[in-house]
Amino acid sequence: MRRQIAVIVIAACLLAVALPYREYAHAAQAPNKDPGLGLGALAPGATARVRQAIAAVGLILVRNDGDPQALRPRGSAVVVRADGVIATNLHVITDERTNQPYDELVLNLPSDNPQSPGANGRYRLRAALTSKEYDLALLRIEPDAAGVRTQPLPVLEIGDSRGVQLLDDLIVIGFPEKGGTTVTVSRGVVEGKDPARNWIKTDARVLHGNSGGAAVGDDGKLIGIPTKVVADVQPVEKNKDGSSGGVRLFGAVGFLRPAHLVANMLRELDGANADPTPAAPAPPAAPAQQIPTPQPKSMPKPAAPEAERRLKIGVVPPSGTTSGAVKVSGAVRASQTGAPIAGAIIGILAPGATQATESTLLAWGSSNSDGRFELNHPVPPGRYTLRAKALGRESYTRDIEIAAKPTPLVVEMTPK
Amino acid sequence: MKTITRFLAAALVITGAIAVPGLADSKKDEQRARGLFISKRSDAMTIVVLKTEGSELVPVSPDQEFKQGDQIKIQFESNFAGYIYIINVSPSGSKQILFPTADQTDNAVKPGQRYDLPGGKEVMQFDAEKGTEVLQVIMAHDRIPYLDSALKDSEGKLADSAKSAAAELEGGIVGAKMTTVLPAGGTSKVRSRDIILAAGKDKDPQGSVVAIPDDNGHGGKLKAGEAAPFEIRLKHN
Repeated sequence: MRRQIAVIVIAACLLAVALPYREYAHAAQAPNKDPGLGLGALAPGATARVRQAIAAVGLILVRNDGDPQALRPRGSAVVVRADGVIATNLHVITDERTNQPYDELVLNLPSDNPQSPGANGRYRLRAALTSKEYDLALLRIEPDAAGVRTQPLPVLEIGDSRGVQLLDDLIVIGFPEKGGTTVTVSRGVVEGKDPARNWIKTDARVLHGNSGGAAVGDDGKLIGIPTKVVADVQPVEKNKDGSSGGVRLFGAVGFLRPAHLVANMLRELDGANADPTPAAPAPPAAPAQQIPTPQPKSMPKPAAPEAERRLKIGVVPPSGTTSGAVKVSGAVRASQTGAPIAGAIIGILAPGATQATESTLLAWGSSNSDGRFELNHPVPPGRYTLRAKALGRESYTRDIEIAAKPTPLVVEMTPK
Repeated sequence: MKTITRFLAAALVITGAIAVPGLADSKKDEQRARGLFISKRSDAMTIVVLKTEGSELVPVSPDQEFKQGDQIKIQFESNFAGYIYIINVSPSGSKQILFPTADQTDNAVKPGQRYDLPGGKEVMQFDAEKGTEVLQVIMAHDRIPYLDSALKDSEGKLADSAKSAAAELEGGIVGAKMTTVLPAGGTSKVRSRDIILAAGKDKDPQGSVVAIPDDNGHGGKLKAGEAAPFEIRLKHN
């Protein structure tokens, strides 16, 4: 009897599925949604918001140098910042054999997604920050040799993962293997919360390949990253001939890493980026670990002409650009007196953008007591829109040209 | 204690933008601002910088220079029921909401009640980093959404994410009728057209008084959607 219990417990506990795609086919997944529960309608407008969120979820493709095979799907990922920061699970980008990130990481935002008509394409990625503790990773989209992406990326806004309540609606978005190459969504509820261990539990279906994708609330904001499934699998009695009766799947619980962990990593990433010597080896940090920037890798040789290739990978340089992103700095002062203005916020918007949003804001910073500022992300030389705002001042907007060797910007603001 | 840590990390320094001497009409302004505060004809507040001397906290003028190890506390009082936000702009330009705190998010103020920053017996202490820190103080009758969002999402850090920065760039303190009381001329000019000020002096228990002018004869009351910001600069050499 004791032995039987032991077998059951072992079988029941560990179909944990932090696991993406085909090479992990041994880890059975649970269709754990009970259709008989009959969930009610989503909140008004929720469907449209969730559909909008779908645009920011893509498929991660991987390959190692020397691999004879083509890029292969490995899991899902979500665009969390307009300047090209992607969140996924660490295990999605890690080669189990070497315990290192795959040499080649590519995000595929599907071109057939009607929610992202302007953002389709492939983006080469590099790992920027990882957390073994939480099985999370932030990746950056790399510019190609010609410049950088200027097409605004669809961004999934990070929601209030601490504030979710039991039975809140929740939709898992991703690219499970069984769903083919197009996006697949699954609806469920928040089934439980485990703040001590940083988990949100759900009955929404989580399959191979959902890892690293998105779970959104009915506000269309990111609640969590689908990370693993624990299935309740128990052995079936032996057949009459004495052979094994196999196992029976009773259900499963999907586990999400709360989105606030991603937000924390983004803050940490910004801190790391503030280091003016990005080529230096990253200091060992816990719980997150900075990954040294690998050498840029070439995309597979395009079969299409250059223009088409750029379109497909979504990389179009701004007009007049040369390669090499530069730091942007400057000063904010009062137009009438020249006095420095402290606490102004200054942002660089994508060319043609008329409004600062998560999608269009490429770099930003605030002025100190001397009015001086430095933006948080380097930007490639080119044309942009500069916007600034300060307490008691008129909003400031003008088009600017960032040169390869930029001179400090001067922002003169007038009183309201 | 959390507030103190954040403040120290920012290397607090005090400035005297609201306490610069030498204004020709400073006497008149002082009487007027204090009169408006007491009479409640205008929305107004007092703000005092207290410094530890021996075992006591004593009022000091905010335009003095502070040195490493100096301990201070900010004390303020409004004559209106509304909301007060205090934002710290560090020498590097990063912005952190000091009041309210991420833990204590109720910044509704009542008239005649004195508030301490930090609360209780805690104080803020200047560390080794020299420079100028700015305290931006905002008076309002309503909550300010982008600041509340920063408290909720990023423990009071402003422009901490693209979302937060975009919200500040597009929204910030909105409303065309916003009353501007930010001193426009740095330390060379204290009085702006939208603020009158009684500058705090050493040992003055009431400190600096900031009031909305009542030039239109109907009193300087903030309306819904309006906010009145001003700043205090703290120098640390």
